[in-house]
Amino acid sequence: MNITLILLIIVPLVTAFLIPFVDVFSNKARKILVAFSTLLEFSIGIFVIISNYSSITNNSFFLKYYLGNWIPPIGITLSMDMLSLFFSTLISFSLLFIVIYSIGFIGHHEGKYYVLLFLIWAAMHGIVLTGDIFNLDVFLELMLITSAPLVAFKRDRNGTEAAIKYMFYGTIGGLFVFIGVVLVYFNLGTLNFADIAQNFNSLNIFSKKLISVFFLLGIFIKMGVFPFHFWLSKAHSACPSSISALLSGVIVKVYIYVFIRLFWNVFGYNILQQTGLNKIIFVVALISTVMGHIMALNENDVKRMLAYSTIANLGMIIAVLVINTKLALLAGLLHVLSHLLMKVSLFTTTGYILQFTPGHKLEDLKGVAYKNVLIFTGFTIVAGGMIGLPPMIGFASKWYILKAFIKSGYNWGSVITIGGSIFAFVYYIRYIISGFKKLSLGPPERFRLILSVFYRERVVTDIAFIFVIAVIVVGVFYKVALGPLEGAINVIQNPSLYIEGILGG
Amino acid sequence: MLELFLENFTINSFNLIFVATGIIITGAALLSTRDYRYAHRKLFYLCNLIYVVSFTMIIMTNNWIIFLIGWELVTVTTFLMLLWGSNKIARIYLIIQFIGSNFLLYVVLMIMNAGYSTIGPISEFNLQILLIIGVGLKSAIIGLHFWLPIVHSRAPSPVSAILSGWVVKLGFIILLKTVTSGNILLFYAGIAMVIYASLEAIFETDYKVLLAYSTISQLGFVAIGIGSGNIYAYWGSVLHIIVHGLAKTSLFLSSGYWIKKTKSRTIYAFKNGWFVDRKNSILTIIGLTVLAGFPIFAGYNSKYLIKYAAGGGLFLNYVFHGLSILTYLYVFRFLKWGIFNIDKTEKEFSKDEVNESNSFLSISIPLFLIVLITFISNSLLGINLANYHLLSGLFKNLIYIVVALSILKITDWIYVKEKPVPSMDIFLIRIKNWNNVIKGKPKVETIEVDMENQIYNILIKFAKFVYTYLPKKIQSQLLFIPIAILLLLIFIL
Repeated sequence: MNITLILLIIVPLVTAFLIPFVDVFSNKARKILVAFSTLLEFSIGIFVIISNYSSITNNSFFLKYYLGNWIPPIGITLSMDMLSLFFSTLISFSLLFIVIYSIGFIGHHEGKYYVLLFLIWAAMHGIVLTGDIFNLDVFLELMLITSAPLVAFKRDRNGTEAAIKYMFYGTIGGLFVFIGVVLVYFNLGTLNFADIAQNFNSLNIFSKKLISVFFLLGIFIKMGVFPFHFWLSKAHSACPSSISALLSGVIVKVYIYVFIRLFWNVFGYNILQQTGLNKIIFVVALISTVMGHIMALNENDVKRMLAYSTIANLGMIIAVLVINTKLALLAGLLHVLSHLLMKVSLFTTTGYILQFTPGHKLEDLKGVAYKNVLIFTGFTIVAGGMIGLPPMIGFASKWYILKAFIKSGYNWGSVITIGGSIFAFVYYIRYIISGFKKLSLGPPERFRLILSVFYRERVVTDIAFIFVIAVIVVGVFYKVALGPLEGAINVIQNPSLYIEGILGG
Repeated sequence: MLELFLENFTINSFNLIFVATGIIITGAALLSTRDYRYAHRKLFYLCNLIYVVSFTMIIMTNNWIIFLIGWELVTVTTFLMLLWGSNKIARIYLIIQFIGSNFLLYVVLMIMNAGYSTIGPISEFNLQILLIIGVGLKSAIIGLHFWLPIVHSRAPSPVSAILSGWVVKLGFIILLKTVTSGNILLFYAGIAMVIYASLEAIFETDYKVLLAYSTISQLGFVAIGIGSGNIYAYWGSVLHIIVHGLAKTSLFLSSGYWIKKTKSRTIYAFKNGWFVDRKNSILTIIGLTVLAGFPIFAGYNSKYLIKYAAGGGLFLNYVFHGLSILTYLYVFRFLKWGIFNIDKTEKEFSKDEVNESNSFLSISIPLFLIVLITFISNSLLGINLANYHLLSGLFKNLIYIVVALSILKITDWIYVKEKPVPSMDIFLIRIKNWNNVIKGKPKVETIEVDMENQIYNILIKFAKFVYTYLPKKIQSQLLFIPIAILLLLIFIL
């Protein structure tokens, strides 16, 4: 029993409910509350790592908490192993900075904004920590319905349309997940992950296949893999940049966590192998990569381009994960880390830049680099990371992905990865050239604040720099990250560890 | 930390000599940049510093990953240096090198997958070929050289010196470590490089393009040495990499001063050079003599060693004589039309805005080192050759000179009309003209769209083409979901 796990969910949840009440009294109190809760949540995450440092280093890390003290398989169990810890740390780290970024970036309706943001935070931690399949579904839906209003946060035609589309796809995906949950409950009479994992093999083959197909479809629709990707670029580009960073950088990774947890630990990778679904996932993911790159090339809008690049990278992560060798899992998780850092920093820098342009289009970006050369250089550096130039983290993850593809003989994967980075080179450099183009009109006359005024400009630039520096520093010392990742892979490859952790002892 | 360093880096005399040469070349180029007006000079020095670190990584490491990181860093830093010249050329350089390094990434993974975990001799012929193609784009192996004359001639002169003097050599240094027992394809590619590039240089009027083609031809000699598998030729390649690097640096730096004075790049503009700028003329002549391999200078030593590659083959021996004559041809043609084209009526070079306080030092330091290497080349390489047959070498070279001069005399010193500065657009114009010839239209001389945008446009057109086939309405987009579930259900049944 470990009380910190429930605190990780409760702190943002309680903050979200407190904000409207505090808001009635004063704005300042709300700001203090937001900052306080953010730091508290982050420090709880740090506390978990520090207090369990010895067990993390020797790979025996496992925390659990029985809600209402109901012993599994009856009650809801919260648990944290190396895989959850990895994703939880990523969420805490990026959310800490995204919230601070929002303090400088969002100038209006802040009360509502932070309520929704903290609810998303609670939902994400819930997804990462829960050990109950119905609870997982509840948190997935919570994440959907709290992020949809944020997509429409700008209250314009584009945003509303994108949010409706997002809700449409999200609810359909959620429906499939729900059908999967119902099927699991009817067949096994249990909702606990560990219990399902223990008894899943006793089911007849048809039920097993049906359950995995429903979950797979649900997750893929919510994630935005190729034939279901139409909502993604709109949703990720219509919202304020802080939310784009959250959606494109973090929420997508949470779905990857769900994918890994369900198909490696709960249902077991065998079911994918037996049905041949892994081949289908591999092909679909690679098609998703190709289409993402092509669509990004076709796009003239910088935020939509970044969103399409997310589709492409997501496809790459899924393709490399389903190879299911140790190296491939390592490559996949490393790319989760690297894509998170790079996408968040790209969206944070872009968010700053777009405040000075009349629109999001390629032509609108002309000469914008001279407004703040450092920020645009940061954008350029991270774009270099996306195409895989050292010393950015993108090089390390690209290297491991290529290695995993070639070692397991999936040459198509490696060809697409390399071709994709050449495509990415072309679509990033167009914006960079446009940004550095010298204009006859001097920058001060041309640029004016068009959208909301920065609440605190300094905060926005500083957070953007922090992410850019993180991309470089983690890229140089990426070997440090490999140790924890191997612990996570140990969990992924041995479902019995998870079952024993929850049911036994 | 020290163990980690020793694990991944090999320190031997070879690597140290290579690194030292690279640093001297960079230093000479940097010394020369002091005579030019450069904005953000500190940033330029920073780029150079990172560049030095990254080529040191490439040369010293025995770890493929560190090699690749260094390789990409060299690409990035040289791209940044090129930005001090023309943006467009820099971008073209970056995109070409990026494609090349991606291919190299793939090749290195194949090599590692075949069991070569550290950089060392590779015995499989196929892997050798792949590696040669992989480094070929940066090192201008024939067929992949198309960008070199354009980029090297349009870069600022100090950057050209760095690119042509050292960056192109890095690929060959890796080949020296991996292709130790010879590769017949590399050997013949080397011969083709020498012949092709010398011929191009002979008909060239732009001095920097001439030097760039000369770089390709001298790289051909290095390729011959590595490809032959003969141990002496192999040592010759090592020596030639160093000597040519130094000589070409000196020549490119002096070309910068020539261009600054004459305000023109064509060799015809350099006339009266001998009278006007004696210092620069002498240094240029020494540099060209080193390239041609005239005795006393180390260029002779390296070419002497490389000629062991012919083995006992009579035909190959004659081919090698021919290759030497080709080098003399473009050297003498340049001297005739450039420095020794005496025309007393012409007024002096303009002297305004010419600041060249560092010119003598930056040009002569590499040449001085070459003279030094001449005397210590045996101990530098650690081989035992009694002598380099200097007298017979002198005799042979005099014959080459006589043959070259008589060919030039017969052909009236090969006067060529002034050519425009080359750019990537010529490839586009060629394609357009082939198309026009097929369609029966007249040929065109110029074209509006530049190469870079054309490549982007092709890719974007392709993307737009794909985009037209995707559903636009939400109703049809949502249709994918029932289709997918139907297909999956059928599949699992």
